[in-house]
Amino acid sequence: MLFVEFRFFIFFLLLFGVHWALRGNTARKTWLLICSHFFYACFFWGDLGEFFGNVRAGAWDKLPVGWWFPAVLIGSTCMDYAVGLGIGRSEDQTRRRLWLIVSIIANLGVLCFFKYYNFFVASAGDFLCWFGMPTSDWTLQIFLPYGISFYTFQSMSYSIDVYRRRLEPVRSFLDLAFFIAFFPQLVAGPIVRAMTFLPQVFVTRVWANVDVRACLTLFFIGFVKKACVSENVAPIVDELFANPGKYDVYGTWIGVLFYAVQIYCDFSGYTDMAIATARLLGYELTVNFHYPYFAANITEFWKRWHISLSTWLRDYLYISLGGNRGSKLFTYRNLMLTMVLGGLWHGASWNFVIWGAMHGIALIVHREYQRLTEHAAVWLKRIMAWIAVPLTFYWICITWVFFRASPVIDEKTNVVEQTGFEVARTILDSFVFFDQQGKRTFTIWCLVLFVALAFIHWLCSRQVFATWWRRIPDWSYAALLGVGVAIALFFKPEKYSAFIYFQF
Amino acid sequence: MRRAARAAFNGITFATGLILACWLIRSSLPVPKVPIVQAKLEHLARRVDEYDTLILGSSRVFHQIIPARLDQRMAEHGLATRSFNCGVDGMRPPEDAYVLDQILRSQPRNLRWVILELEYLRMPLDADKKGTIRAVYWHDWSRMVLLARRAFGDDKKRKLKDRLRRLREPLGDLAEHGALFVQNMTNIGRAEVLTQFLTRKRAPGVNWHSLGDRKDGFITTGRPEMMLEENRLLFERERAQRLEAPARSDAGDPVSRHALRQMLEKIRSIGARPILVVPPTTSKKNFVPGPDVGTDLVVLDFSDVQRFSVLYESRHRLDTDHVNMAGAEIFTDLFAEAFAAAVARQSDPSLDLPIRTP
Repeated sequence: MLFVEFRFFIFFLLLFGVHWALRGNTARKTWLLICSHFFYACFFWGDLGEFFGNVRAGAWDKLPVGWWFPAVLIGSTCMDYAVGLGIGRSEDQTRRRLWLIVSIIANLGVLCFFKYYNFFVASAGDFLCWFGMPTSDWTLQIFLPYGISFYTFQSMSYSIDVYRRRLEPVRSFLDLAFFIAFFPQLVAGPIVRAMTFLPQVFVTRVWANVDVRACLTLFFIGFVKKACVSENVAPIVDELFANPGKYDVYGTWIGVLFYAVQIYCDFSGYTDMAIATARLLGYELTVNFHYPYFAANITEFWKRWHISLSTWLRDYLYISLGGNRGSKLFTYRNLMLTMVLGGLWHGASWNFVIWGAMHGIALIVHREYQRLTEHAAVWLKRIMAWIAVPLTFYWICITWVFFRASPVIDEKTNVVEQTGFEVARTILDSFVFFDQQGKRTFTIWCLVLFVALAFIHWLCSRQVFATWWRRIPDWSYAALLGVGVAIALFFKPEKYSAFIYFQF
Repeated sequence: MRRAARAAFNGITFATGLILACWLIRSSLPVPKVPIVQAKLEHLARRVDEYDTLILGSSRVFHQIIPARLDQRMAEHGLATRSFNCGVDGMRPPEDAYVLDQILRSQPRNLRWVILELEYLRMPLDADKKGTIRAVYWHDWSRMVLLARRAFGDDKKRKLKDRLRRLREPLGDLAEHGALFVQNMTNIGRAEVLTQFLTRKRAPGVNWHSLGDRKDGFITTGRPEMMLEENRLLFERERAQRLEAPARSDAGDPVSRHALRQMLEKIRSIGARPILVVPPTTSKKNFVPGPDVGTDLVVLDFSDVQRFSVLYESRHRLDTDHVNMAGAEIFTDLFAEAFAAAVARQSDPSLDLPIRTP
């Protein structure tokens, strides 16, 4: 069930009505927990009658793939609940550390098994083959539970914060289960910290504090980003990445630029809708984006892009590795490690490792640049300030090529025509070195559309549209929203793909 | 209380804005590009005045009444016609009513006969149409009203409790139609032309081949002329059953009758005359409306296995519902004969032809 689907609105209306109709906090949390699990189950149980028919008949083999996904989620929650209590009861530092290690090993173990087992085994096999040592196929048919990367990080943040004495362990299992399974952020984030969310869970939400107009506006913006922009530019991107080398330089540029648009609108659109949904229920989630493509350097980009992940990696990985509390080399090692692991977090593929490493290198280069130009002339700094934003965006686009590149497979023969790496290289030849590859191209209107989208985005970043809709009367806002929704629905494609970050 | 009233008012304003904007967008858009239907509608929009006879229904008339042959036979019977087959595979009520509405929007001046296949108003969607524009495009307000009436049951004498109990079964179907109605009314997916333009993909044009070689709307099924073994077994069994117990005429449910009545009124309003047809099938019962639908109705019923035995010979069949090309030629001849007789019947009611006038 996606946020842009009609059935989600029906689901949410029911959930919303009952939630605010209930008086007690426990009842509300229980209701939201049930609904969250229902929301999660909608991703895999298919036809309800058939599903429960198979369950009643004990035909487990006929159940759809992933019927056991909730077991992983509940298991992870139970384990962290026990760890939290264990850490809370122990005064002895060694015991506390032991409990934490249990949590980290269990969480990362589950994540590694589901997400990285096949990747590591296949990579090790390839590596041994390279040395002339043939290996057996040890890969397994593993299905990645939805949202595992997100909820594992959330539950780990809880254990670590309890260990660091930043947070009291929760006594109620319901509270922790609700925190981890809360449906707006369950499958694709933002990664909400226990420290941010749990204090909200303890207090009964008040309807009067909900800014309905702001929530509806945010949800609408998210909807437009996903359904109208991301989904409509996706065919252009797919065309380029399915036929690398067949497009001219302009076509390649358009394809790559539109991928930057697609991934931003897809992910930030999802986040906007998640935050708005949570706010309508009285809960506040972490902000995840802040106009990242207007970042003037890569460090700033990571303060604006997927903020919940970058701050998580900073607080729980980079600082745990030692941060910048050592030599320069030691700091750069930590930076590289953090970014490579951050890349790997996105998916078990070398694409993501390269993508993370490229960002790590860029961060190191930026630090060095800052150090070297600390005392540079003012004119040089001014020039750099002018070109900083496009330069940073250009580098980010280059890294996106690796992020998006996937093997080109012949549909008829099922043979891999080009590996993901070859696809990336072919596209970058055109995108970076202006090497004319093919004759196919996109219409000039694509560029016009890109410029228009960039301009609108820039106006938004300047807060041009930030407040005017707050000043108009309720009825005119409602009518305007109705017209806006009608226009958005017109541009919404009939069939749409899941959010890109669902696969992570 | 004041807050609730304000929220309700805002909700109504939102809905008004949404509905008005959707309606504005919708009214400025052409009819969605539905395969075959679009070609036929566009052809008729341009040349509707060339035809005086229109054939409307599912594959049972689409691939079984050959307009050119019908016109020829009618001429032999002394009645000049120029017919167009507007049948489409799987087009049943209420979709046919929508197509008729679209045709009538062109204000045909020369239309004299509209041949309608008799069929019940069905709730479930065909599986092969799900997820296609074909399932969406006809879901307008009047079609939804009919479907809702069908789902809730039109029997006003029944208690609400009974009606709700009966609703359980078609509730899923109604919800499905409701979603398609919302999709249609909110114009979802109608901007796909934009993506096609940007990617330089040519939007699929009108498939004029679906009008047939003679551009009269008729094309063959494209299936082998011989019956498949599995179809043969089923057909033989059902034919034997119909020989023992002929198909019975069923007056149909109130909503099917109401839907038909609406169509007939529209046909009559442009000065044309409806001719209802029951194609040669082996069904147990056929929808033949009662006098409440109209006393001057002409129903040409070909479901009598004994009487039209030639249509029920295995060599002329594809399955229980369809005849092959040879069968279609025979069916067209028989239909032309009955059609001509129906016109002549006014002068000689004693003619023994497969005509039922309720």
